[in-house]
Amino acid sequence: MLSWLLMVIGEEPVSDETLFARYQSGDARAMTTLYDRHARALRAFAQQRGAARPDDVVQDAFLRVVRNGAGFQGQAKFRTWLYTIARNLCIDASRRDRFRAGPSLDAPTGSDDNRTLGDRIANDSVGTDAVRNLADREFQAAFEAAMAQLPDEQREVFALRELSGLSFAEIAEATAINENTVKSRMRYALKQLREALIDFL
Amino acid sequence: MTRRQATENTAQERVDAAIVDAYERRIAGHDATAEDAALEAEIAAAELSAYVSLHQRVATLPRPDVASSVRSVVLSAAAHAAEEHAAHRTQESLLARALTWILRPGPLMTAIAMAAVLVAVSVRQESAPMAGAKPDSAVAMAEPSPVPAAREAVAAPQALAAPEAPAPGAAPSVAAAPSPDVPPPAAAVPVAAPMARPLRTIEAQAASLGPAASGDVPAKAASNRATDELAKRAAVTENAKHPFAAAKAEIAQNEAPPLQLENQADREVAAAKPSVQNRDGAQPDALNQRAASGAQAVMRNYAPASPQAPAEQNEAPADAPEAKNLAARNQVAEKASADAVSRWRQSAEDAQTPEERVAALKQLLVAAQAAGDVKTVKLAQQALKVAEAQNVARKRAENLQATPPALRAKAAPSQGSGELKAQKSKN
Repeated sequence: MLSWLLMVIGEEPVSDETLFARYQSGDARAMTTLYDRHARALRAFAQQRGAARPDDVVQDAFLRVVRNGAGFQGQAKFRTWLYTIARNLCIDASRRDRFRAGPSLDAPTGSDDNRTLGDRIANDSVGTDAVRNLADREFQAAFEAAMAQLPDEQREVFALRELSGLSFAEIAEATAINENTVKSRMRYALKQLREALIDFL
Repeated sequence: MTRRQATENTAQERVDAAIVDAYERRIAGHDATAEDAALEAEIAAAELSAYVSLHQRVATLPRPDVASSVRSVVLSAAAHAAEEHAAHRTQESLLARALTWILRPGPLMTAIAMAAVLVAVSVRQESAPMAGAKPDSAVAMAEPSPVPAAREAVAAPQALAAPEAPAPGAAPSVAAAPSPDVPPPAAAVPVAAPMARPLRTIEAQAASLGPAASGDVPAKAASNRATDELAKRAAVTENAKHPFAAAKAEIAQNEAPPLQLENQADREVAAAKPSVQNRDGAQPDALNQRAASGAQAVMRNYAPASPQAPAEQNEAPADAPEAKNLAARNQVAEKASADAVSRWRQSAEDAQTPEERVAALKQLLVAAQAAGDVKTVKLAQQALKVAEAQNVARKRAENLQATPPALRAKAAPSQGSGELKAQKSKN
């Protein structure tokens, strides 16, 4: 209880594994903390991984964590387990979307306001965020274009490292490849992004 | 472009120039100098700085938040799952909880250790009284038992003499001419060892038939003399308790008498040997071969019994050493009695005068009664009657010859018992 209070006031960061153990023991608030800690980064990873509906990936990933919570024995890190689930969901989604010509502009985006994809693109293009300046928007567009030019394995490693904050060891475990291979892919991704974004650096 | 001009350019241009220069040196095959190494390090530093600036710019990018509906769905599902989990835990039976508590490693190991201690204590208590009492086999091993010596004495090969042919006109031999109504001797002597006697007979027969079948007999006879001495000593000590102690002691201290052949096959083989020698005067080798074939016939007759004999001799009740001792003593006493009977029988057969024969038959009768040999008792009684009658007839003939002819003619019409007694008194 004391550690929970310390975690709430932010003085002692509780590990993901401890929070999930609390959730397994019946504490639903631990899952809330875990969601708030990882949902946004997980969505960014899903978006960079090419998922058409990154929110759906986040939802499915967390629902699987909730349903299969008894199967997690704490042998791996919770974040690695969560991103492995999300990665598999992205792979399944990309296989399903392979035979789709493109996202429908009339399809709902899954957000709260029931806006269509066309509405969101129009609103985002004009800059609904008041604090976002023009340079940032230009850099974001150039960055997304450069990321789209990266190979899938390099883009995945870069997204997990820079957008989700996983270590190279965690990336290697989540993607089931060697850690040195992860670093090599990161090196090539950085080189290509540096060359593509040299005007913004 | 000179070097001086290059230094005045921007840092990016310097990096590019250095990269180009380094590229040119590499393709020209020149070794890297210290200045080149510094330039390459500067290039690496510039690359790293570019990566760092890229990282910083990417970190400033806004990350879109996840839809609130996703959050509500996930958190509601998590709350529901937590409630189900809590409800499942509360619905666990008390027995399952108790089993879970009991089967923890600590209590389980404690219970196993206590069970092991109880088993060890119980086993120790059971083995304590057993250790106090020695097993019967151990007692039997510790005490020197006379049974093996007695068995050796019984099974020892003895010098066997073939029955002599009865002299013409002599009294009928007790051993060689049994009456037809008398049962076979082996069955008529119940005290004899049933299995040891055929073996002894076979060995004795083989020894008497020649070198072809008696190769190991002298060695056995030499090795068994000591056991015979032990048997005789045991018989002497037993004589104090036996009604015929004096006779048995005398018999046991004498040499072992020749053993009589008690089987019909033995008698046939023994009778065949002198008849062949007397009839055609065959060579010794031929006689030995024939004797060996006869011995083989005897061995065939005793083949089923011979393998069982050692096994039965070895079977002794391990739980009754006293009984074994008593049986061994009885066996020695029976052997001594049988030897006495045989000895007196031989003496009766070898007697030269009627008086000696009558005396020997009387001793034989006493010995047979002591041995319980009913058949020999009957035969001895018959032979004794015949010998006494012969003795009386011989004396009467001698008296008649000694009487003068006048007295003989006078007494002829009234030759009664009174005159005969008077004549005897005169003589």
